[in-house]
Amino acid sequence: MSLLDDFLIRAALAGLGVALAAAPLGCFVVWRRMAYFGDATAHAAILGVALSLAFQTSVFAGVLAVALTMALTVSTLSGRGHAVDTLLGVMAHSALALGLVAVSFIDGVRIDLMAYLFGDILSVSRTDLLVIWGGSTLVLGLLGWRWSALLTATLNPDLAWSAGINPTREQRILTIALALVVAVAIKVVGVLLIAAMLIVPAAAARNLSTTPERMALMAAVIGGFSALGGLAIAWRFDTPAGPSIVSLAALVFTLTALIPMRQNARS
Amino acid sequence: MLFDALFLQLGYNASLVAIGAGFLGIAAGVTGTFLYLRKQALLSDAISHATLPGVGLAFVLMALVGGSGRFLPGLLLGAALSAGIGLLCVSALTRRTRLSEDSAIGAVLSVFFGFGIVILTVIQTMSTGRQAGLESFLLGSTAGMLFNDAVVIAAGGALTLLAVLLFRRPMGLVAFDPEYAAARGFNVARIDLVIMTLALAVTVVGLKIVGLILVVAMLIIPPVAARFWSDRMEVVALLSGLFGGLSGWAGAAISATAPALPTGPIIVLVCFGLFVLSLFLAPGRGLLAALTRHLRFQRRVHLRQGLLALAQGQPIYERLTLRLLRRAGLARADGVATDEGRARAAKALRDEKRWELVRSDPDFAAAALSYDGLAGIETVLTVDQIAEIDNRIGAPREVTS
Repeated sequence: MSLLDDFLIRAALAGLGVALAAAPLGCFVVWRRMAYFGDATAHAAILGVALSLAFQTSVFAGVLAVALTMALTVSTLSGRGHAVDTLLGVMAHSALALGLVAVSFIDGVRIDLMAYLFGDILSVSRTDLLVIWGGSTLVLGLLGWRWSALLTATLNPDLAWSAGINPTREQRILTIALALVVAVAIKVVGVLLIAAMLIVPAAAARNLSTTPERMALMAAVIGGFSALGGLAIAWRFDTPAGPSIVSLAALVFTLTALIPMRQNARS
Repeated sequence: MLFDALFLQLGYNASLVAIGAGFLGIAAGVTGTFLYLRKQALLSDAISHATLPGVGLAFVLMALVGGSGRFLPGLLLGAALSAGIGLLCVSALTRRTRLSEDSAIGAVLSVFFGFGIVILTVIQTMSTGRQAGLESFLLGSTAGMLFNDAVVIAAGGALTLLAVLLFRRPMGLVAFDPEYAAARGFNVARIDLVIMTLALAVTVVGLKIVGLILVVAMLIIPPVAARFWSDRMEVVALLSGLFGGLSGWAGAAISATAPALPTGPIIVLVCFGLFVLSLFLAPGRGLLAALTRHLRFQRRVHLRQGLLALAQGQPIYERLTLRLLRRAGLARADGVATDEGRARAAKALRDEKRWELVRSDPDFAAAALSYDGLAGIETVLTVDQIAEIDNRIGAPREVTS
């Protein structure tokens, strides 16, 4: 295990793990227009951080609990005629504010908080690595297991019903996967940039692909590339790792956005 | 201490900040109403996050020119510029690519934000420009605010409020019915731009107090809370302004009482408190009102079904029905009707018979439509109509053999 002693290797593995799970999930986020959902769940996660710091439990568990609660509350409420996006806005920012105030009552976590807001990939420990890869594998397994059902439910809920698939259940599976990714990614890119890890690679891959499977694959490749490249940039230029990863992903997106103009013109 | 702060007794700067936050809150609440009605509340999320690179770049620029990098108007100008660019990016992405608007917003806000963080980190390593305190733009802070900054914020909040008041008519029209507004000769695209500009102004002015992560909550939460109380747009806008102003002022005052309390989150929490109050207490749309409405309806259904059962001599097994009948003095504890109960039951049965006829007769189609199953027949039909129905049914007669 001497390989894992190097913090840079650990960081690379952590970034790769998060990117691999976030990218295919991000495709669903883009297809189903759940971008706010991911963003809001991530914002609420800071409340989880605050709670777990206060009760001295594992941050992963706290974040997972809050993210799940948040996600399930919103999906329940949204069925009752409330406008989802405004509801998300209200809930997410209130949870974030509550978390920040709660943190301000706990002594000595000022530095810690910044690490959770923006990620601290270079301090990933072996346990963190285990949690990250465990969570990512779980998300990937969940997505792989339900892939065609999820796809059908996304494409056309009526079609899904007739094929014996319950779209509400598939929605809930996505919600759980999203909460898992948020909990896992918080250490790597931080609360405020998780949405970028979800959306930007998927959006970039969308320009390059013709089938859903290829888009998910491309998104994973782009996400992984951004994670590794961003780390390299952070190492070379002494910039913060999480934002560097996101900036690189944005660059890839800009490049891919230029390509399909030609393809679209041809087809 | 808290009361001192609320009534502006806590020093000149703190008072100025509280007033400024109040103005800002009112402006944010009213602007937010139009955003909310135009269903663009989350575009403001992109605006606020997109301000960060502008703040950072403005700082670098001003530091390089040789001044103090923390000159607030300069920073705010940079913020406004980069937020404007962010808005352009969102609209370009939505129009030019296959991305839906929410993905475009998500992508722009996170990328701008990430880029801004990179710049902030670069600034930390710079040797000039007094960079300390720049992070306060993220979460907002009133502690250690300079007098000039407080003046800029108070004036900015007041100016924004004034602009909102000036443009409230056309904005309301567009928010409500864009086509009608266009027919009336208003340029909808330009008015949308005005709304966006106002949102941008609120965001930028609020950066220093509330912080860019949470300033958007000032635009989103007050209108949602105000919407519970009224269906009229003017009232919603006014209430929303009131909620916003209240939370800005109270939040700033509360956070001034202790240096460790972050201003932005406190303001947003006060706002959220108002939202929760509205959610439960508002008449009409609030949860409590809905609950009482539901219970009252349930009671009426149970009473009516109970009366019908009494009239037809059927036993009542439902406990709630029995209890309601007993409490109304219509039945005894063993489920036998009292005299009044019998009278009411007879009427209920006769009304039921009348309704049967109303429903089956096309002449009464209009009346049958307005029947919800519970309203008394006298409240729906006229005396003449009832008389005619009774004529057809026939009055109670003696049994003759």
